[in-house]
Amino acid sequence: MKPPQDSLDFPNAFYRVTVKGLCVRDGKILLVHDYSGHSATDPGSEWELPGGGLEFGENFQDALKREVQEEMGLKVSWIDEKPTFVWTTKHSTGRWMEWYWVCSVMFRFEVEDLNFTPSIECREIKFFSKEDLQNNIADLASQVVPLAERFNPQAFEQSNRDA
Amino acid sequence: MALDDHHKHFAGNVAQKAVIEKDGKVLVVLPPGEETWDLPGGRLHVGEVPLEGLRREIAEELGLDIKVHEVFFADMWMPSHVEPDKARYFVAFACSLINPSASFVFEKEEIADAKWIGKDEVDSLPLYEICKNALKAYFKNLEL
Repeated sequence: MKPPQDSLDFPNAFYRVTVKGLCVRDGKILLVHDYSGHSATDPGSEWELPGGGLEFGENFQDALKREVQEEMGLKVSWIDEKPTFVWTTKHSTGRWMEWYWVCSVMFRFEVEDLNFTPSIECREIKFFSKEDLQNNIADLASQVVPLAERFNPQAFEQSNRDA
Repeated sequence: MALDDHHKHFAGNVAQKAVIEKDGKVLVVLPPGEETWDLPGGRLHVGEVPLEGLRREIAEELGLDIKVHEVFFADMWMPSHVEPDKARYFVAFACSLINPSASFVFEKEEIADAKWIGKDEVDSLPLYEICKNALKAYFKNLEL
């Protein structure tokens, strides 16, 4: 049997790359409640960071703007030039023994307002404190779990950025 | 993410690069038989934690132990010397040497030479464009 990571015929150093947005207000980070996950208490949904897969030839900033628009109908007003965090996670394709790896790159961003338009990828948005994250691990998307363990949203509130 | 659209989404190698600083200069490396300099680093293996992968690469290529401070640059990379569909995602981390007086031990198949360059040398050195962009961002961050 082939090793699971070969299930998509990707060589051993292949990753999908996704851009994720970090929007911080009052020490809390913005998460999106979608319909496509597998959380424990609500099998139809999970809390995910805004953002998604990079398309070929697309840069991170353009991809994040596009995803925020598609998912929430919100307009991005600012994106950081440099990334904040890079991490990797293993994802199931939903088929038995099929996995792929995702490398996520996070950029801080701001939106013009929070009047989101619900979509299949977003039925609700909410700001989570570090404590909220830790208390809802089972409902977080796998890419968000490392944040609950390692992140201090307060520190992001304090970090400098250009106006 | 649906599987069916996996050819539309970017999937490829993740090239992790270390910008290793010492006395205001940064380390660049020359692969054997090449004329274009590069930043040290390599492909992230599947299942590796990014920072551990980077430390492994630098230990293998140069025999150096590094401390990784932060990620500061990420971009898509379409190197001209490989096929257009072999796009890579490029990410650069700010690093320093754990032992600043350590000497290089090259892995000869990957590295022919290494040198420390200052900010003024970035433009004139034959260096991949994306590495130049990363180094310019690095030196700009130092000024802030």
